[in-house]
Amino acid sequence: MEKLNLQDDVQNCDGEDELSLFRQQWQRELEITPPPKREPDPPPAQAEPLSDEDRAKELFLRGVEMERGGKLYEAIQNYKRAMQILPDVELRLYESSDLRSETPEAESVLEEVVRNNEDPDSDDEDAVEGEDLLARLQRITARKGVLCEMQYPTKSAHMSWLPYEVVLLILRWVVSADLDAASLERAAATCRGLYVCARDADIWRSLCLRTWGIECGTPRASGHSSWRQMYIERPRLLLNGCYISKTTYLRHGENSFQDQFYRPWYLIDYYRYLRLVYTI
Amino acid sequence: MPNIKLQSSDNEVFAVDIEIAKCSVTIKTMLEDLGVDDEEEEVVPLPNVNSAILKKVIQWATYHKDDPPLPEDDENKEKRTDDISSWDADFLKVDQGTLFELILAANYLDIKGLLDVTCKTVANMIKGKTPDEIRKTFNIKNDFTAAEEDQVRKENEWCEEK
Repeated sequence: MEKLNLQDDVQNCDGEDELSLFRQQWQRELEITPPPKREPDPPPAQAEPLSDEDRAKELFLRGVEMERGGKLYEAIQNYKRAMQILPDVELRLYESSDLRSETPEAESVLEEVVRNNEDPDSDDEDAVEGEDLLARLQRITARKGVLCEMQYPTKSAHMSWLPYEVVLLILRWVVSADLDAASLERAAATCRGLYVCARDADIWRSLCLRTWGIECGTPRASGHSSWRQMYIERPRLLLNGCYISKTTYLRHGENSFQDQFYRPWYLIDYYRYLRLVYTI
Repeated sequence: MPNIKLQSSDNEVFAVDIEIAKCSVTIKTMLEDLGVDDEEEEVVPLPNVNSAILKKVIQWATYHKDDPPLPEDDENKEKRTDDISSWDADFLKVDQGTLFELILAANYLDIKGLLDVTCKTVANMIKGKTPDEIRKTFNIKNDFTAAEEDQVRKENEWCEEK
């Protein structure tokens, strides 16, 4: 009823009146409500979880140290206590360390850019921590104009004469029907130019397509950073050996301490596999 | 049999059957676009190919003139590297410089069959070798810094487990 009346009021009386009335009312309200009620409130709210958080983090870090030292039992005790104070302590620690590491990384990239502007011919030999190796080497080889250099000078044609797309073609043949990713990876380790070629997303994409078929999805959809990561990380049929058995069993998962109805079980499948290695 | 004259970078002229020359998509498109008459025998300059290599290319094209056209490259095609015919294998028993020049010529003249078989040959020289052996085989300088080499080794660890 009241609301309806109010609405009627708004519609009936002219805007100015309504507005000034509202302002007066609001100011009165502000005067009445004591400011201290608001101000002291936030500091404890901030301070308390902070100290809690710090305590939890400290416990967690101590746990990490103990785990490194091999004292697993004590480590677990520390982890448990930390988790009791702050269930998501690990995540928070990770986030705060991430923040810390982010700044120097950004700085170093910036430095790199600045230095490049100053001296475009320098071969930026010193490695830059954090910057993607691929991006850096792509830039360097693009500036150089050739993919690789000769170890000994020769007059006859050399790998470095080949244009990028032809080297890619050769690398596709290296992968070939055997899906020989290992040879591709070894070619990547020979020099900067071949590294850039052998990381070409298209080659790894066709490796994925040939492995999982046309419906293999995209790396982003399955949480991988690139086609190459997807090929490496996602379980696939191995072709360099022989599967000898499959074992399946159930494993009791850890119960949640809050929710008694959630009882996880793991269905474990694992495959025994004899890998054939050729020694080179 | 109508001929076409191909001139190499060092000014040697080769008379080639048009049908054989047409296995080069570059020459084929050029002939189609220009509408060259069969009678007036024009000379086609090929400034990127020297006479030694052009001779080899013509030899290859003559042998393969009756080959069925290659299927378009498609992702799901079986790509085998061990199916090089014995004639091609003999044909490609050349020094590495010539092999690379043949690749460049096949790429420039757009002869897919020759490009495939030469690339396969190089790929077979890479497969199964360690990075150091690849470098030695192809006279490649290792231009990685120590830190870069270390990172690459880490990135490649997944396929090198012993």
